[in-house]
Amino acid sequence: MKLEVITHKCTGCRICEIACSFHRDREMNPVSSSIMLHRNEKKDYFGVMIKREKEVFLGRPEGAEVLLPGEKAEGAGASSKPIVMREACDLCEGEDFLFCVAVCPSGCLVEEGGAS
Amino acid sequence: MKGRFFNERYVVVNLENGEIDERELSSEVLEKAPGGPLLALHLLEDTGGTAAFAAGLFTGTFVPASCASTLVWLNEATGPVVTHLLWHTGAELKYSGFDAVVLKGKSSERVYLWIHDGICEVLPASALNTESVWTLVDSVRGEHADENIQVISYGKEGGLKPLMVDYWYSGDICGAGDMLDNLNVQAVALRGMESFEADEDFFSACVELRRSAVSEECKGMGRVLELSGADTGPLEKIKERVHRYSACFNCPYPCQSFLMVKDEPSRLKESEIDEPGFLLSDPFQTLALVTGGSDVIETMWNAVRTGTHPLEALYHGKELSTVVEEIWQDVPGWFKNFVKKCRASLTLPPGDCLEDAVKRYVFSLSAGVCPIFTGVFSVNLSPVFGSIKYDYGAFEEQVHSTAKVFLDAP
Repeated sequence: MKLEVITHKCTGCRICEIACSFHRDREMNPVSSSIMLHRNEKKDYFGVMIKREKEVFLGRPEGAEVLLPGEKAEGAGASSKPIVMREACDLCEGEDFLFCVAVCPSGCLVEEGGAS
Repeated sequence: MKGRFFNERYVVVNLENGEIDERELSSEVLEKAPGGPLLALHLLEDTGGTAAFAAGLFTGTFVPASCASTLVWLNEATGPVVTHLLWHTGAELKYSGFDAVVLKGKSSERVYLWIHDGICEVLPASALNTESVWTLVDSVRGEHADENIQVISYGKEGGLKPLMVDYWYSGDICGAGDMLDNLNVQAVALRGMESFEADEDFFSACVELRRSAVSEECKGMGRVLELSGADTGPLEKIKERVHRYSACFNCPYPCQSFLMVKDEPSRLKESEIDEPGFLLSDPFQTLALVTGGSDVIETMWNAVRTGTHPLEALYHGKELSTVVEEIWQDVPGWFKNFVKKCRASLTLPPGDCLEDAVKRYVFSLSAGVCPIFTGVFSVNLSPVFGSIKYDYGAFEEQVHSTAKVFLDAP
């Protein structure tokens, strides 16, 4: 399974964070996920970040960016810092589907080559 | 299994002496008062408190639109008053480690509550910049170095101080800000990291409910587009300023639209302007926008920054109820009654439709699900109750008896 992120479709609902934690621990816990919402609320600027094995995927509304270790995203605020300490996304290893895709209501997170 | 989505803990804050009393929330209490207005009312009676914030049964979970929490307070003139809190406040309250927060007495100094990670603190508001709602939110987040803190506050201006969540209107029409102002509470800040167990049956029931409840075409709809009876001319002007649609916690229906005032609405890159616009999060904003003049968008931008009620900002000097009567001709009578019923200073005799509306409102909030979402999509939550073996009928019965308390208020 592969995860595709259509960055501008995110509506900032944050349920992907909870779904990711459910995959890991069968718990709803916003801090144990590999995916996080980043948001500059006053500017209406938001998207998702995903911790991957060797990089951080940064979904900006204008497009995606991949950050390698040590690289800093332009304009990254305090809300983006905790992602580097998270466990890496394992693409829902052992599950039948991607949990974040199953709960995403906006079509921002989709399974590559699968139905949204 | 009934208490599974609760922390089974609440806190009583004595504002007079600053005492924080953390208490257990027993399964017996949660059975009688399983969340939202039911729980808040029970705790107010039990503790002698003045106001109570409470999460709903499903707040912060996989249930679609489970973003709602409740504020209930006792008004001597009208009896208990209930209002809702959406955006991400409900989820952060529940994940903070408390299911409810009860306020007792009145503080002698200006304070704010900082509720996080199983801790409740009463802190001096003198450290905050209270120039506007926006500076207040910025200073709370700066003080605790976390941009995701949810801040409940209110503005300084106007006769009716609506509750604000973060930088935006909460949709409160009861003047809850006046009540917090009277208690000398400047703001309530929430952030949490608690966890709750769930199982596959619940997860699947919630995913299925979301898929069946919301059609594809609704996914990009903002509230500005759904207002019926509005003149299409001014509505088109507003639509031209829409930047993106935003959803509250886990809501499939992103009914909040961000209007760009100082920058191009088509801009996808982060704006270089610090405060380029505002979120359209309250139906009264939409009413003001479609009835106001050419500079109304600018007026609304200023109003949300200061926390002034949108109609008061537009028709300053005029009694709010008069303005509502004058401009709100196309709104159904029962909804108008409902709005008035929810306002502490205006109550009307309830009719059949009003009773239904109040029951639906109390039901949604007790479940922790947004009342706008359940209303727009006529959502049936019984499958998710079934997935956790919770007696849906008993829940409904408890809600109806509690709704009566609000309907019977003088």
